[in-house]
Amino acid sequence: MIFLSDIDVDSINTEFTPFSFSYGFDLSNLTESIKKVGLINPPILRMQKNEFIIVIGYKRILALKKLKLEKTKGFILSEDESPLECLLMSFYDNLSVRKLNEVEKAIFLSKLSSYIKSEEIVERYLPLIDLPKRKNIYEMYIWIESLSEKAKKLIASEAVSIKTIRLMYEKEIPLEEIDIYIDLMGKLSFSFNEQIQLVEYTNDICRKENIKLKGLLKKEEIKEIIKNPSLGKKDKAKRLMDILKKMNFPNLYLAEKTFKKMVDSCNLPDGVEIRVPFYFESGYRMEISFKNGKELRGKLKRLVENKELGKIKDPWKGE
Amino acid sequence: MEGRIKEIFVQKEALGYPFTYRILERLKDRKFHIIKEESPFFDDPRYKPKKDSLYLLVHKGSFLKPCPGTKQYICCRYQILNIGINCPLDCSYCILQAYFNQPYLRIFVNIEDGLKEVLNYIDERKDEIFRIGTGEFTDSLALDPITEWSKILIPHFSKRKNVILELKTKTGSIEGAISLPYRERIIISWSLNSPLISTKEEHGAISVEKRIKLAGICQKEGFVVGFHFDPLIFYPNWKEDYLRTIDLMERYLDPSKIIWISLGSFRYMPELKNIIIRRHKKSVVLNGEFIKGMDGKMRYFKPIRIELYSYMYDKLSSWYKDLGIYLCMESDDVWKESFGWSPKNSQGLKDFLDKRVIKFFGR
Ligand code: SF4
Repeated sequence: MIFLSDIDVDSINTEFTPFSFSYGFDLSNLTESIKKVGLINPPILRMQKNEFIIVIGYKRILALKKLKLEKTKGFILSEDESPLECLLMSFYDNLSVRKLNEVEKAIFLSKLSSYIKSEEIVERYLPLIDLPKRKNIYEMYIWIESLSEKAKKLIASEAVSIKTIRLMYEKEIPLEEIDIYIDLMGKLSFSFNEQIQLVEYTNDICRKENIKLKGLLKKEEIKEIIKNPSLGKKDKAKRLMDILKKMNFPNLYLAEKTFKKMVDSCNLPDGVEIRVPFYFESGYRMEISFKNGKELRGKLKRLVENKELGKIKDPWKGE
Repeated sequence: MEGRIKEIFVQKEALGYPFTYRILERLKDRKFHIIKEESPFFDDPRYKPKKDSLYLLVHKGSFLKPCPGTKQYICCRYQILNIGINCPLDCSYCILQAYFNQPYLRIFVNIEDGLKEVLNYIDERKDEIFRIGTGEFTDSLALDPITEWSKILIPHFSKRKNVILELKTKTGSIEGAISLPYRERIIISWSLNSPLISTKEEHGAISVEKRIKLAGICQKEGFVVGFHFDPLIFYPNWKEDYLRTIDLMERYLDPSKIIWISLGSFRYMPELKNIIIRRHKKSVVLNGEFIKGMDGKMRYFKPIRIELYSYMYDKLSSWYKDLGIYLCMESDDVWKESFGWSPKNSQGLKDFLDKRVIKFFGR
């Protein structure tokens, strides 16, 4: 049973929200629209112990409260509607109009897990929120629910990629270290690939040196980069990644630098490049861009006469 | 090993094979369950491999498969006789951990039927030499006291002129093989490592010293033996540690009865990394400079591999010149830089190892 009624906005509970999973949203558009045309879609509420619990319309109620509006129309569900039915009603309503962000998925799955066995959730509900039917994926989303608010905010806003979060989950990184990563990702500006590398590199270095992430970040050369006021967020991230690479791959790092020096000293003609595929696993490659045969011949001639080219060799080999 | 098995799962179809009953008879005081379908799919990387449970099942595919080498690196063209999957040992670096949808020690009960097909295949190709091993997806001998694989396989392979069977292990379960009257064309091999890596990383395996002593016993019993330093691990003091293993070899072995020694540095599928981190918190195997190789697997940066191989090659060769040392899944230039020569390609390496077979067993 459902009926429409006039309701005091104050009697709607916005703290206890068992059927809502909206997260990381912005109310400004909605408040503007309510200001202009009023509330078009009344919320759906359920009476519980003398107050109203929101089933559908959490954001709308928040907007009403923000606008200090006292009365609203709302649909009231009878109390025989089970909590699971209410949760699913809210879920399908959301699904019909938008995609859930990763944190919302986590909140929804976590709420659903109070009513339904994990096997059924994996089978029936994961595909509905674009997730593969895998138990470990389900468990990862339940774990996301347990992360700090700061972490969840960055995940919901896609400032931190879900792949990075998955990597942290797979490595069983402790929650306090996740907060350190989140903090760093908030302060510096990493691309998604760099975020993954950051976790891989730091985790590897900490394991090899048997230190904690906190200890690693206290190293002078790292502290200097993070604190350097003359560097922008992107430059800091780049420099940090470079230092971490050097710590993690000292030989590769040195080889790349030495090889680059060798190539630079060849002073190659414009449009000629020497590449190192697969981290020196296979032979080197030269790429020549040219517009016509004459230009190509000219470049080839200069290359043949270039004595420095003859000195190129594996950078780890001595004289 | 029998003592560690707590439970047996028997696929319904496996009840049609005498091999199943022989195992059940040997483990008659263990709980067993008949299951109708393939065991449930485990996709949780936190699964336990359940190394205390046997799963007796019928293998549907072919029993003989070429070693899954890749084009980009030189492969020895070994053939794998697939007798079972998973292993009661628990090496931190084991690739089998990445097959997390296949728990239990899986034993193929139709091995005797499969073997007939394999032998027919070999007999139809008399000009070819087959080097066959069972130790790719399991340890060849760890389960021998239960399965008696050696008794099933050795008599057939020992009789044939164009094949050798290599039983590769890290255990001491050699009684089954030794008790048989066959020595021809059977190679008992041990995986070796430095004593430190063996103690820290090869859980459930016997010590390196015991392996080498047992290899000496096998030599005295008339077996040709082989060794596999795989995976070689780069860590502080690796040189001194590997030298200790080579010293033990010098002490207990007759080098002229070693058919080959392979060297392979640690490589792993990227998915294995986090599994090792989670399952083996104290492991040191990931503490190196790993790059993604041309085959998509992670391997040490090239100069590190060359350092490992050349050191091992020099030390082993200074003990005995003709040990049949070869590299597993390496490139032509790494061969040349480490050993001073290269078989050039996979066919070249196959020819090199086939010649070792002819040298030790004739044609
Ligand atoms: S002995 Fe071989 S198969 Fe068994 S756990 Fe060790 S690496 Fe894996």
